[in-house]
Amino acid sequence: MSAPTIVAQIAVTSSKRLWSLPNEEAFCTAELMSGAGAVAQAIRQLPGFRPGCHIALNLPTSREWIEALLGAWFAQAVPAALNPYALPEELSFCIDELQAVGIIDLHGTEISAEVAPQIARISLCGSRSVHPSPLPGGAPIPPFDPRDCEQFHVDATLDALVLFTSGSSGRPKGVRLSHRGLVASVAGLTAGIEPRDEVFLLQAPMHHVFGVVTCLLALSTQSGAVLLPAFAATTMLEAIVRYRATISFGPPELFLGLSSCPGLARYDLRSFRRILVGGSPCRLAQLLEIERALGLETIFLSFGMTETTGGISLAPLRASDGRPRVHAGRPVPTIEVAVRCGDVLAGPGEEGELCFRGAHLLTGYLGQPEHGENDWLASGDLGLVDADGLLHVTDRIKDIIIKAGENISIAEVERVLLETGRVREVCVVGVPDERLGENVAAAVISTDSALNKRELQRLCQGKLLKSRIPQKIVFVDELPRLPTGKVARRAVRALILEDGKGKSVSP
Amino acid sequence: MTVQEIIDAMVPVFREVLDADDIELTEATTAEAIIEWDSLNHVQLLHSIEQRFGVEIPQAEAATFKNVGDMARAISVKLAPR
Repeated sequence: MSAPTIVAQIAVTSSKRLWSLPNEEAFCTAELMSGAGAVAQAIRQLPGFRPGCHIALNLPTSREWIEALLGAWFAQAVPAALNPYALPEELSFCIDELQAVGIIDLHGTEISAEVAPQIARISLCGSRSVHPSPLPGGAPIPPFDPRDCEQFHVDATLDALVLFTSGSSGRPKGVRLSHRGLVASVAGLTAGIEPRDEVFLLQAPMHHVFGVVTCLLALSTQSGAVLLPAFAATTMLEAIVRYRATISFGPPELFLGLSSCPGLARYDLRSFRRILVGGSPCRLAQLLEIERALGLETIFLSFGMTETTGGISLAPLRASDGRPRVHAGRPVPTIEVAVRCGDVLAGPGEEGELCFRGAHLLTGYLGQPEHGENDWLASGDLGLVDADGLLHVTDRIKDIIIKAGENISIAEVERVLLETGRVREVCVVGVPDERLGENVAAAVISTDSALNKRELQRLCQGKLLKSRIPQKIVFVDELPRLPTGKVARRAVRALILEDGKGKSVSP
Repeated sequence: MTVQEIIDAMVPVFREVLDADDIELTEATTAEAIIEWDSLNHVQLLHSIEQRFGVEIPQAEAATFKNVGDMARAISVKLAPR
């Protein structure tokens, strides 16, 4: 393969159908490439366009999202996936960070001019049409020539994609991923799950690395796929039945939501055989319940981060002897894993910070120095590799909360709470939650005694995504501190759990 | 049942399913305003409301509700004698 990119692996001749919900539009890869060709032509016409420039994608999981991604690649631009549900302030911040030459969105749901006043727009309106036509006089865009795809060449070490993660500073961080990283990630997953005439259910959002990699995995393995713009349990179950979906990737909480869906027995889920879970810590009882309720053949467990271009490890829940055990997968051959305790390498079975190196890793963060090819990435997760070579994640050093697979920056939540003007000091922590894995909680010193939980939550609306607003809030006179003066987060967590046994409490 | 009576009867269902005993509802309450209401417990909430009132609310119909008032009015119509 002369150009090690995913594009070269996508079979344009595949006759497999893909479906985009909610309008149930069916299409094939060749049609997808046509749409991508039109997008590429539009991108090339943007003022300031040059190879390697950033183009922002503000689209839900849909056919148009894939066309925009591939179109950006054909134009030699670097697509950056925004969260289409993000609040204006966050979108504005991400667009500024990118210095993007244009933004692609859906005609009729364009990002507001206030969020991005200066930026050029490409609006996709329905399938295969770009509005307005980028060609002189609005001429129709010529059909895509599949040879363009075969002839697609790009240096695989160059950036392929920018995704934003919840940064420890409270602002999103742009993570630059390479074509090589995407290839390594997709190859690792392909070898691990050995696709066999699959129909993927793609419900993960495409601004999340999980979503992008699963979508590319489906395209490059000539699989069928169903694209869902958002999670809704009944829609997902109906899609499994209707399109005979066979496989899906997501956080455990999502599949637990499916397992506990009222009327589950009504759905014929026999086609749905395998899932891959990751993005959130797993518990054995939870996984066994998912396996039983959905009648699954295999649950793969995996670990990955945005910075590792998604999953770098996977293995089935059940070993060859059939016994289930929780782990975080077996590292794929193309990733190196080191477990570090300070400057010392930990031995097998010893806990330390998980560090990674290899083709999967980011090329760098936006606005920061490159991540060198031989540099290790410290994950911010504590864990170990056991005697069987399986990865285990035991704890987290980084300041994030993982709520149903969504990484939430503690710093962002604390900043918004302080900016309400009614909070003098705050400590935000993650507390265990049976349904969501973790939930957002806060211990607050308020400036006035009249403030209560609901009022504080209301003040956060429009400034924080709803999923990030603390559900459990404890009002205190002082925060527990370490001898160094820093807030003792563990003590705060214990205090919140003790107060109302984890339930929301008001003053 | 009047729309207000339906909303009053919905309050304990919301409180139980969403596990928050201080939830208050008015006609104007939106999903956005109830922090505990998310895409993962949405189906359970809808199902419990269906059971409480003995009606069926298809997913497609539920998606058209803009607020609690819309939901209560739809239930009111379903409960009305034909």
